[in-house]
Amino acid sequence: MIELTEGIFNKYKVHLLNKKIRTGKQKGWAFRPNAKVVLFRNPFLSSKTTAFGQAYIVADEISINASNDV
Amino acid sequence: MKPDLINKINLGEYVNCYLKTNQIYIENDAFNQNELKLCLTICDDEHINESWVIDLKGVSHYHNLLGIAYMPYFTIDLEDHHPLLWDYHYDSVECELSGTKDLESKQMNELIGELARCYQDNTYGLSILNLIHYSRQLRLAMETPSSQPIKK
Repeated sequence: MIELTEGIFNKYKVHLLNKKIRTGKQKGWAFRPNAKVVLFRNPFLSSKTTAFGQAYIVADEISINASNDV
Repeated sequence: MKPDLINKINLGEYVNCYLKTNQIYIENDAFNQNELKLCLTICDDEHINESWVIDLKGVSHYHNLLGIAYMPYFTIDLEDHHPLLWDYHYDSVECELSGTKDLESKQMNELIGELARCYQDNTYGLSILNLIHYSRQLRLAMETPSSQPIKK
């Protein structure tokens, strides 16, 4: 994200200082390299560009199976 | 490989159907075990009436879970790389903006606007941090000389 905003910072002649990197190790359990997200969208509630109407769940393991209990 | 349900949705098999949640089970054991089980029904008024179960282990975040109680014209996506996962997949950076004191008020607003726009475009509007939401806080942080570094 910093690379993407670099052009904007140059345009307004502002600079980023005091970069403090929080690595995955420091994040502890919050660092989940295998995390996936399942997103539920509906055109009435949300488009791809709006967050609030969408439902989503972030989890390490996601399995979707058909069920016989109708 | 995408699960059958997602393939069927992408093929348009459920165009006239609606999605309904029957049951939501959540099991939480002090961060050792965060499991969530969603029992869904997909049906239309005529032929389709299917039940699906989504099992999720190691749940770390969920949003608007009750929003899927009844959902017509739905889509479901399963993604490994998504802006919502940046916080979990990558290192994060805390930094401070310098040089904002020399900007005029209008320029400052433009800077915040451009940053928010860039963020919105690159995260599809989906992220835990929303710059537009925090724009007032950002503005205050930029105007206060002894401000704390802006996080993220």
